[in-house]
Amino acid sequence: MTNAVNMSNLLPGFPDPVLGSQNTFRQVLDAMAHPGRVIHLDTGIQSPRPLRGATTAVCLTLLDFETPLWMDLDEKSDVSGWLRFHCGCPLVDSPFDATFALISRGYGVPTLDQFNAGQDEFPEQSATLIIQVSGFTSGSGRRLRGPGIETFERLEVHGLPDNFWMGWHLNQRIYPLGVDVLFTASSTLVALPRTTAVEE
Amino acid sequence: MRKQLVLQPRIKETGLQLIKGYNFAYLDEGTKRMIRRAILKAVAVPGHQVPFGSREMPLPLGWGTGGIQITASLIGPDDILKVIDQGSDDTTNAVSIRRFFTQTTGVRSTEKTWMATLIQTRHRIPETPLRAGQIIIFQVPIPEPLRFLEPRETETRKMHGLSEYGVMYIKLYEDISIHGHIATAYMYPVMVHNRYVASPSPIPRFDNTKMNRMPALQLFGAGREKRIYAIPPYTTVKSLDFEDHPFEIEKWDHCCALCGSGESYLDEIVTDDQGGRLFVCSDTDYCQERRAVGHKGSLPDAVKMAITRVKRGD
Ligand SMILES: [Zn+2]
Repeated sequence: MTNAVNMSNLLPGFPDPVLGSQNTFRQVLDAMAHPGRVIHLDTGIQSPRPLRGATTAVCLTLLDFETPLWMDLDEKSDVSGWLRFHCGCPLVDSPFDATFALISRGYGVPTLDQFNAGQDEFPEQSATLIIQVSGFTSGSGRRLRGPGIETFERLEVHGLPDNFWMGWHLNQRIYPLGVDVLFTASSTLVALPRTTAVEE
Repeated sequence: MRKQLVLQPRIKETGLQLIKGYNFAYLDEGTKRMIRRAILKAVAVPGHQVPFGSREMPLPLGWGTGGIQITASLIGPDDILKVIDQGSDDTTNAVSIRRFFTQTTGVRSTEKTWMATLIQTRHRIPETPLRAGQIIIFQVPIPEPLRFLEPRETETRKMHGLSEYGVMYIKLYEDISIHGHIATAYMYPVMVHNRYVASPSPIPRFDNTKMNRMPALQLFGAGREKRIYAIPPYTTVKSLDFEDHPFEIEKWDHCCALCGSGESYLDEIVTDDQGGRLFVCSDTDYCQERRAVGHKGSLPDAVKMAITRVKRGD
């Protein structure tokens, strides 16, 4: 019975699953509609280690049996059992097969070209990456432009590998294909849809 | 647009309250999640039509079930909902949809554009400029702007994929050679973020200019055709045109007979069978707000009240 979820130490999901998901979704949508803006989530949930509140809330809101997930954590981890119980999403071995990716350690994020970027006629089939990072500084750092941003937004994301932004630049060049990213840190969230151009 | 002066009973909203025994906002949570994921991808690829597994809704098709499913996937207890149909909050369609959400969510509703957090609409964008943080949800009957030129879905999909929009420009140019101008009055196609040609839904082209760099998020839902698309805030939206024939919006020789506005989209109201007619704002909330602060049109007050009742369907 290696697949059984150990119920004895399983953490609960949202106190109110319907309104918890609704509220979190609106925050994620707000983030996607305003790339680079730091959004604070008031989730009120406990997270399985090493996930943090915003990551947990996003998973509960968006994942289910229809969303194959790739993650950088072990099949035997607490997160694996928690995901199977609350979300029921199938775990996949190859990043390319995933519609969502859960990256708990931002500095270890695989290069973006390993994920599905969608196809010419189906760009929406590309992967969405949930990348847990150590924090954000807004108002300084990189300069972001694109749909959802009135003029420009400034943002620094802490806890990413140096090559991430080079990968993002390549992701931009294949538009309208490309992956979309949700960065999470503690109880905050920042979205980076494929339309966002990032300069040093 | 032209409206006939028809008297019909006004629907009274009595005793509206949350009905127990439904899931919040009617849809089951799995369906909401699927629609929410489609909305996020739609925002990430502005103007691209994302397929979704549209569900049966307890309202007839053609009543905006695509828009309703989007609103049902968004709405929460803190929202204030406005529903309009051709500029009016009081048509049967608008009243039914508003009642549906009031009863299945308990959220507050409003007729005031500035007060609403969610605005579900059929055929108009309010005259009052939408602000950052608001979301406008369009009910879309035919999401594919190329459908009239190419009936095959496999072909239109390819055309979008390759950004091959030559046929669309040829059609518009044929309009010019036949009519001397582009004859399309509603659903005038737009180019979104310089990549996808999209349908703005059957709004008058007067409203197209409001879509460009709008601070609010624009979401589009087509229930029968199972498509969702989006325009994020501050996104470039350009109505297709030609250098020698630039895009133009409708203009009137009249001002609104009720509030005197010379800047709003006007409905022509036929007042008798002798050719009598007058022009009033299509957006009833905008018109009322203007009159509330003292703007006056050309009509005597008694006639204004009669017209207002007709517009509301009293
Ligand atoms: Zn008026």
